Amino acid sequence: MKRPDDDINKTLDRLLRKVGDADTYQMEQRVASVAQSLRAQIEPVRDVLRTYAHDVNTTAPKPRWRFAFAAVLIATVAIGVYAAQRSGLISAVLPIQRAVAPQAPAAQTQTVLVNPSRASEPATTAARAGGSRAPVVTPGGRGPVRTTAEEIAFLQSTDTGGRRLQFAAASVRQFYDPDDHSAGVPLNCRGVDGVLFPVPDYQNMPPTPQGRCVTTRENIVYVIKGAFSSSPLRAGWDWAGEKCCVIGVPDWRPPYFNIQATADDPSRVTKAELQQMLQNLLIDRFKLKFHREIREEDGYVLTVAKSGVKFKETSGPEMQPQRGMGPAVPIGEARGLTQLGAFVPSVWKGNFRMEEIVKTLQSMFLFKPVGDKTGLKGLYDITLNIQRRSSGAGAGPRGARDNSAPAWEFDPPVPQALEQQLGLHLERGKVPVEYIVVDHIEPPSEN
Amino acid sequence: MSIVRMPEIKATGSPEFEEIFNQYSRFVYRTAYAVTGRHEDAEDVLQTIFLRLARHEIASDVLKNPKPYLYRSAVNVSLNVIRSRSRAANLRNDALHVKPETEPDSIFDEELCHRLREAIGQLKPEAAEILLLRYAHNHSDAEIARMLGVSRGAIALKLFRLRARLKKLLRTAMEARHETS
Repeated sequence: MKRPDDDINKTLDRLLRKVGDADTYQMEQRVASVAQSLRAQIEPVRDVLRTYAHDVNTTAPKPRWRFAFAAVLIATVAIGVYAAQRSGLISAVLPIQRAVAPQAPAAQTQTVLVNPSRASEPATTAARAGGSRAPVVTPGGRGPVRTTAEEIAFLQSTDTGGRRLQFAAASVRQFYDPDDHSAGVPLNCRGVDGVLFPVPDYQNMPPTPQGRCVTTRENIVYVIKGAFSSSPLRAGWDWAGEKCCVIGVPDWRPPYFNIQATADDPSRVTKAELQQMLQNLLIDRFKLKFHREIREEDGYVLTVAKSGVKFKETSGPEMQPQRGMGPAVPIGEARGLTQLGAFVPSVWKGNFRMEEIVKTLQSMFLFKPVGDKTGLKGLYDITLNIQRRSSGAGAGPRGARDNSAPAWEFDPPVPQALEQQLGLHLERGKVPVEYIVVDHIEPPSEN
Repeated sequence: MSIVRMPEIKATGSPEFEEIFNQYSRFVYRTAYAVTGRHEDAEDVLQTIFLRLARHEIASDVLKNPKPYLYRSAVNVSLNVIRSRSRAANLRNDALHVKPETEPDSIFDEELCHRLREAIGQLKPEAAEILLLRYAHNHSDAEIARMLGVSRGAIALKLFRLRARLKKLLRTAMEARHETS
């Protein structure tokens, strides 16, 4: 006689076996991919170990304590130098070097070729614009680029001691799934000091694990932009549309990639280090070569109005304007100036740097590059009231494809609001904009 | 169906590593897939575990009999993956992601599998280990007992309780389906 439990038992058995039944073809492919990835990571380490073993075997035997003592001594000195460098002690001891650096003769060319062997530099060095002191707008909308002196100081602060930073493991795959209509995960990396290109809250993306860079279904253009941009904006969004400022990328079909990359030491890696690893990933796997060009673009120039600024310097926590009606949020949080849309705030209130103001103007109000010539370097307590008026179908940044004029209208108009409420003057003008020109790129090598 | 050739890891410094990888990678992968239900996650789990192994982040005596270690690691890392994923899924509210073109019965099967995986994700790692060894890897009670270092009776009892728990879950789901249809 059939027991009532029989059906349930059979179904359970069937389902449990189904749960553990991995498609063999997929499994073989992925295991092979992991094997290759592991081999790529393990071989260099083993080469070093073999060389070391060979050296030890071929040199005359020495007492072990000498090796131990020498190792401890070297480690202590290295840690001391590293700690001093991190704490700024070395830069304080050697002020002459920094003082002299800005006086280096300015190069005439505005094109900087990337040297793949120093992959950590392109994101920043190119922005020097041949030593020019003119403010340059970066592709990420970072606003005014650092002057040469600032650039050198920045490079020194992010120096990794000549170490070439690379991911411990990285999987890069071209994305092609005609059945997958999901939005994908925008490129973002999580370091100990926060998220590089924070994904806005409203996108409800799973949080990126510490020490990883992840993206799914991301256009290679955005990945390049994210890797070589020092802007905290999301890689893909900018004042002039999604593909702004990266040119020369072949028309790959599909152009989308899934990237999962993990740092060697996830618990300690920083955002800047992850970005350098991302740069090296593109250089190594895509054989990326590019140069940067500074082009003069029609845009806006922001200066202090004749009446003087109408806000005060503050020492409070630094913030970034948030989309929507909410209050401003601490800088680096996954909210803010990351996507154009209908959420332009009507009130900004908080402690902002001019850099944040410029970025917001570029990406949410003007959709053109903005050059900052205010000379204001501090943190300011700023309040601005501004309303967006609907301007019909197709309005907004997506509507402004020709970049001839902002498709949205504001009340009061943006220049007027800035002048009356903040004492800042906005006028049309030419703004130098940095472009990444891709000279060579090829489909990624296998994982 | 085309066959993908498995690239061997060169035996340069540590032959045992290559051997272990070639011998157990599919075992680890299958375990991870059984828990996570996604090839991407299974691949991540596989890479994480063997990277640890390659970097000698485990005790050397483990290499003498790596299977239990690899298996436990696979289950634990996979459970972590699905727990973090379920947190994200709660945010996205798309925990039950089924393809619309699938047949209704198949959809229900997918849903049940999904629920089973969720239930496995909530088990203690030791319990999940036993269940997967039994059903994903088709090991007998005796083999499981040997591998986990416990008695055969204990395994049988544990499996009986686990099955009872999963049957309850299944029955509830099936009754709910009957009511809606």
